[in-house]
Amino acid sequence: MELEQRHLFGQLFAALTARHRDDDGHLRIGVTKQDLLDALHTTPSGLAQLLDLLRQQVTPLGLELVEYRLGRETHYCLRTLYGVPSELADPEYAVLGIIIASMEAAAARHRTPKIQSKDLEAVLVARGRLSSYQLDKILHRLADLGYIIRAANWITYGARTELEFDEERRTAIANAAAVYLAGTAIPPPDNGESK
Amino acid sequence: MSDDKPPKSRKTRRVNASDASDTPHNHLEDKKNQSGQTPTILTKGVVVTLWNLTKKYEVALKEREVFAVKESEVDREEVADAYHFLETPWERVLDGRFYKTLAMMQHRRDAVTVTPDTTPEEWTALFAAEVKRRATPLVFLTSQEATVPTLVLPQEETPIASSTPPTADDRAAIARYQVAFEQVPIGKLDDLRTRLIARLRGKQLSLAELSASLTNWELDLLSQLIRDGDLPAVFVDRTTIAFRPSKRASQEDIAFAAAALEVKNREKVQKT
Repeated sequence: MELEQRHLFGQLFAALTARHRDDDGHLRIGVTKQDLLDALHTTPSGLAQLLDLLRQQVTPLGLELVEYRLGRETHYCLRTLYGVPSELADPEYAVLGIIIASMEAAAARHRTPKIQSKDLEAVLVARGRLSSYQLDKILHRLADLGYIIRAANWITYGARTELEFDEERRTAIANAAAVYLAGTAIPPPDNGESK
Repeated sequence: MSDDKPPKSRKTRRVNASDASDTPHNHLEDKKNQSGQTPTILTKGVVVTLWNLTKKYEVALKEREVFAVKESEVDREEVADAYHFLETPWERVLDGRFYKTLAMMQHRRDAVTVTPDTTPEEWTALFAAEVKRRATPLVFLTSQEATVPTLVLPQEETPIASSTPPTADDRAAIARYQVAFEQVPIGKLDDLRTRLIARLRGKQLSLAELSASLTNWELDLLSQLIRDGDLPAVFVDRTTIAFRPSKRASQEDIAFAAAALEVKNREKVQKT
């Protein structure tokens, strides 16, 4: 590989594995397509070609290039193919699992799934698995890391959860949660219809 | 030995003591006083039974005890028809409280049955592993997020961020407490010393004049010069200081005095 191209891949790799916060404080992962086009002075087809080359380079490392849309913009980022240590601790993973299970239950009824933190409290706090303070702290951290978005009492998926857990995995987690929470019906979400 | 005491009696005493103002006996007394009628034995019995059962379950939940299904069922049947005899809001709330504790006991029993001998921590770790092994984490090489806004140095007049412009008082406070960070290169020090001595030797100045004419670093330098005897000085009175025309220190100069001068002159030395 030419030296120049290797340099370019290095910079591209750094851009794809970056993250920053937008004006609303939400975590933005990777880099937008427009930013890449502007930075590389290339056409969309040239960019696609370059990204294909990069994909070939990173796949042997156990990484894959992901393209996702957020709002009107297309983003690119890098994801591992295998389970590797991540930023979350065990209780945070457990809470995320419960959130995913509740969300999947909500998704069966509503187009835009959302749950309330009191639904989580019923499963985790009332059963003595976590204290109310611990749950609140974990939710705060999950929101901070871009896994969930909290607006008032409502919780929705952040982009990161959908990127790290595809639909199949989310369903599998919901099924696992059903076994682990046997006897605890996840309360059906009240999506504000009664208001 | 305190360990020999039966734990049950201790529990009962503690619960009764904490709820002394809210017992069924007090309630029945109040009811009697208000209505003038003595509650029937049946009502009394129902209320007291409800109370005892509620307390039994509340204490068990607190102590993380689990009763068998059969026992809970017997308790439930015992007060199943109690609502016929409940009259006041207090009694109905007590009824609700009993059913709530009964439901919570059922929850607890389910949790224990499904995962026997599993502490909440173990449960969390087990379930976390289920989630974790299905994750495909995103990769971030740059661990530092750009969450800190770019630092902008405040303007000269507004060292504090404020939506309103600073008032005259603010400006005075800023001027008073502002510390001027000046840098004087070491190579220039001798030159500055000589110039300072030339400026002050043989003069008699009040402290106010002195502080108005000197900058921070000049005052520092002046202290050193006086201390080292390079520029002998004496206090003429409490507010006036006289610098000797010659370097030779006379006997009367060895009377030490200190004056803290506040710098008024804010001339800054150019960085080199």
